[in-house]
Amino acid sequence: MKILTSIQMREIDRKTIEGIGIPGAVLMENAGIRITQAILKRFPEVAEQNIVVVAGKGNNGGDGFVVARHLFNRGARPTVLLLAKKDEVKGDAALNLAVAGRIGVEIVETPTVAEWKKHKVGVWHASIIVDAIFGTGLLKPADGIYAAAIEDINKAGAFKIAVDIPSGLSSDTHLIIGPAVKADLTVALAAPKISHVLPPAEEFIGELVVADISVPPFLFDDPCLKIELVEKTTLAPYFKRRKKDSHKGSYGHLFVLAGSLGKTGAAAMAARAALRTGAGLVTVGTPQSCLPAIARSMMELMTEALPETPQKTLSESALTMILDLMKGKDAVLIGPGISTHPSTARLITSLLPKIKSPVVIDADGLNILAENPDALRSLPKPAVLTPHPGEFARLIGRSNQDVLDRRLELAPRFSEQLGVYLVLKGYRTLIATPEGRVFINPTGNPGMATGGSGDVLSGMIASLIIQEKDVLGATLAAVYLHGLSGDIGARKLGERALVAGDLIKYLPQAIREMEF
Amino acid sequence: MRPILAQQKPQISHSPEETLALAKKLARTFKGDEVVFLIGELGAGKTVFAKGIAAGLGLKNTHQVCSPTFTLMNVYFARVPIYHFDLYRLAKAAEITDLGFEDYIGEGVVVVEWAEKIDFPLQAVSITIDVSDDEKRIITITN
Repeated sequence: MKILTSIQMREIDRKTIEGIGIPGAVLMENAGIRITQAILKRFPEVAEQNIVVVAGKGNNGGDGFVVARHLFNRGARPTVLLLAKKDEVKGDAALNLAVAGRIGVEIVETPTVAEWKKHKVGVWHASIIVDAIFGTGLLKPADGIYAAAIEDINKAGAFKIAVDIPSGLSSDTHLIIGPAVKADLTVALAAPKISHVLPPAEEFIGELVVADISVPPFLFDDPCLKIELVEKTTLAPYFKRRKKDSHKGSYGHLFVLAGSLGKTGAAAMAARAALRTGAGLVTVGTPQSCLPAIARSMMELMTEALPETPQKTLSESALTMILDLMKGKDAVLIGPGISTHPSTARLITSLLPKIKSPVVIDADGLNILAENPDALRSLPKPAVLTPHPGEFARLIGRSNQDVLDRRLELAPRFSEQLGVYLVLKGYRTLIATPEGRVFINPTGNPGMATGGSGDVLSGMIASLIIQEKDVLGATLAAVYLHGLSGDIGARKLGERALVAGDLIKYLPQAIREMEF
Repeated sequence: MRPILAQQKPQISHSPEETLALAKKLARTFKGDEVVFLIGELGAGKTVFAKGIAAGLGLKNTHQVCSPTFTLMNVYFARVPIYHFDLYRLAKAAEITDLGFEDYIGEGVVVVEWAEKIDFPLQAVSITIDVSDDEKRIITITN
């Protein structure tokens, strides 16, 4: 499902109305109907509810008038509080304002803060509030009467439904630009926008429903629409049942270069996750003294002892052995727990240009690249880098806050310039491709913010890459599955107690959910 | 920059295809170091015009010409590099200079959407696209 900017949405609206010829009033009617349906689903006895529709003078208000009319038809008696004078409403919104009035919907003009204050008690007594003040065109912070209305809506105990987007948010940024309605349910019209899916704006959305208002689907096929929400249905090809006539070689052999003193867990978790995700074979190359801990962690793992430094990290003298071990391997995962020891760093930077298979680089592998820009610029392809925001900040020489605020600009630019896939981890993980596409992952929860979670993910990505030909599909499927496993774990154990090992534990269940 | 052979009087376009053809014809006269300002409201056809410029400079797959809404700059490789900027989201002039904008001038053809945001003097071909009441586009080229 594509995620649009307000400009892109306006362009598609324009093509729908002017090019295809579906009247704007028809789109508005469809929007109103969809929102009404969402309300009825949650409140079947709608006639008993005390409903207030707070409407602005634009098309968002227009959608609100349609909702009021349909609710009225079902026996409810909603009150519309219009934050303007009736004659300020134009176009399709004015049409629907007039119709609602003729049917008998109570419409109260509250164009000033003083007028609004007289009626805000009604807002506080409502059981359902429909927020129809602003739509997706907002560019600057809500102020004056709009800010007052937003504040009073937020103070109310009612169930709040936002038409298209909670009023006060800007649809084109995930940052909060000013006061905004904190909705329980948001019905996005035609397509989601950035603020529907990325935090912190996403926290104001509540439950998200994307409504089909009959915009022709082919208008969303435009290659300029580069941001997408990952959906379970598109990942189905990566979770097909296995062919009966297959053997472990059909599912690839992964080489994992990981581990150092005190950080053997990272290596063990990455490797174990790779096997649980279905890799045929997994070999972990690790410093000699770390081998027993990793070998004991899972019987099914193969391990290779590599020359180590006095600090028990991978030594640069391991290069020849590693190159030999990598023959016949279908992909290599580099990084979990390897440390940034200078000798280890020299090993990695010498190794990378010689790799001929897909490579996944995580954790300390990324920290090493951050100190070695030449190595970063000459990575073998295809390469998947999996930083969290701190590691990404180091890679591109910016602050953590900058990375979080400008992730939609910085992530695809990085991927395009270096020709790599980037998985920027966090709540709503972002995946960027060398072609400039951006995918946002919807699964996962804060319980997954725990050490080792990233190691599990990198193992899963590498595992799916060797099982599928399609690096992008494998990466998207792994990120989705990782989050799904975390969600299953959180349901069973609660978020706080969740640890990385649980992500592996619930992986089988998550995979079964994907296979249906 | 040598003078553009295009007309100074406004031209009318009745469709995105005509806008594209006009832009293509203009770009064929380019030396390869021009700066182009695209000025017009939402939906006027700035990106369509940018596609036409790219086509006129020999870019084969013009599907890749998109408004760089988030990345702020796209690069396409035609007979010269094309640096495509979109300043819509930039609020402050400082952010424009932050882009390293000036580094690209002279390196290829620079195309800027929402060029109204630039507040420093710059030699450029200005394309203004106005939308008439009956949805025609009035395109004025000045340099």
